[in-house]
Amino acid sequence: MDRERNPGKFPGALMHLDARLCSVPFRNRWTRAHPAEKILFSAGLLLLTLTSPAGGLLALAAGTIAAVRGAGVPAAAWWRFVRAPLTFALTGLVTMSIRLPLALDWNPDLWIAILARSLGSAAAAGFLGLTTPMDQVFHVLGRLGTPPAFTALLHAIYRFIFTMFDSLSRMLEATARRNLAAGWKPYLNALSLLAGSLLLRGLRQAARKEEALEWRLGGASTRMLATWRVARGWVIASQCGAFALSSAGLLTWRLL
Amino acid sequence: MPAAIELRDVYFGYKPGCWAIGGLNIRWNKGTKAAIVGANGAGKSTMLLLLDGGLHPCKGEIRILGQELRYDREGLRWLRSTVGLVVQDPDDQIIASTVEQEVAFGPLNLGVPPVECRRRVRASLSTLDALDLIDEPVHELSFGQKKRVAIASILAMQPAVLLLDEPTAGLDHLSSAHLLAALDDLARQGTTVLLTTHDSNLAYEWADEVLVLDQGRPALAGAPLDVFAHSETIQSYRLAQPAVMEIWQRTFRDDWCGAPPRTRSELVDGIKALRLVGKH
Repeated sequence: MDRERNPGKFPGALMHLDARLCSVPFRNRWTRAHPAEKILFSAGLLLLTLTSPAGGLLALAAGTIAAVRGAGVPAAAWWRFVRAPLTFALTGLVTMSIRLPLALDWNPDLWIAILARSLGSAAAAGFLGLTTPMDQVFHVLGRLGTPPAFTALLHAIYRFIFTMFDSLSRMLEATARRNLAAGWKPYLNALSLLAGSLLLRGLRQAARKEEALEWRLGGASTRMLATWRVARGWVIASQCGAFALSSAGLLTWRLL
Repeated sequence: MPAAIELRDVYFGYKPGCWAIGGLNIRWNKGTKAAIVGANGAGKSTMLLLLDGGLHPCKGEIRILGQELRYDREGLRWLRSTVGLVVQDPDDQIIASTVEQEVAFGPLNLGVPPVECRRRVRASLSTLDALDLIDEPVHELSFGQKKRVAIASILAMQPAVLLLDEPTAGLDHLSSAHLLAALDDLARQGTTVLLTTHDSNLAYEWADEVLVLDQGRPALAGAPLDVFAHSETIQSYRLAQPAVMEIWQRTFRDDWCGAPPRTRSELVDGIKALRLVGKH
């Protein structure tokens, strides 16, 4: 993505915000840590979330500290990731709390549980999503027995998302440059045409990518080079221990 | 000794009865630097795809390193490890999400051990002056950077025959110079390098052999000095005569000593020599 372009001038610039978010997994201190360590940590956060609402809040705190302080994920990026599920959860709470004829369903325990669990699971997903490039996850899926053709497809789709993202961003900018001055109505008309051409462009690009892969490797496999460090046994062991103890403690506290 | 690339009376058409490539007879030896020149739609990219096995000729025979192309699984596997094709748009080619993985992708999947892959990645990126990009995510690269990564990823496969479709399009002057120097090195080491371009300056200065295509037909073929010698002929194929050749022919040919200049520096040196003897 061209970093020289000026965000904020055109509607296409909205895309650049998300493009910056997509770069975070490749630019943090734990990018080159073994994916098993990060997947395990994320799974641990999820386990905590499932034990109780307090576990969800604990997962949010642990995930935030690990991502922002540990991996060096920018706080703004972390917030941008977490705010989407938070918005969904809050919107859901409002619709759950108001019923017709107009009255308030007063159930703070349920609200807290929903919010805490939503944020805990968002922290689990956010930690993995912002510290781990997806190709590392695909590698682990391959090691767990996912068919190579399927992981190759995942790689291609992952790359294709960025290519399409870039195309869409350029098309939006070009459309805005030409039509925004003419007013919103022609601009919106142009946007609808653009959606159609994006689909066609996407199909063409997918076909060309497939052809280029065929010309390059023919029937060979589609493995990727592992660019991460070897898994550290003590990290995995201590994570397992910490999450097992915390979950057991939370469950016991809840039962008591 | 078998030719690195040999085409015998090759015909290919996307539609029945309409040849996109017609009657090609070519023979290029190992280590040749060849340029296929032609206007838009002349059949340059189609010819590369025929050589890479991406398209099958309707008639005729294609031989790479003396072996006739076979389109079964085994034949194509041999072809992929022997012939490397860099496509015009790097986004069509790039599949990995980081530069290191992208450049390692080809050799790794041809069975090269990871340690050797890493060595090749660094060597290929260094060749194109792109080693500083090794840890970059691909989606953050500019077009020119992606182009260099796409070329490096094919160089890392160390093909015996390297095909490049418009390799300098989108590259700045310095990057183009680095690329052409790298291609020179590869040719010296025995790699046969074939590129397509509509830039006659590039073909004239860089190539040992030039093939001019016109609507799929071979119009001119031979050494650059012979192919680009006649301005009217070249222009009739919607191409420009190389600037160095044009200046030399119009201004200095009568007084010039030695072979005509191929590069701007040769032209400048020749002009200086003429001034010294007081002829210009």
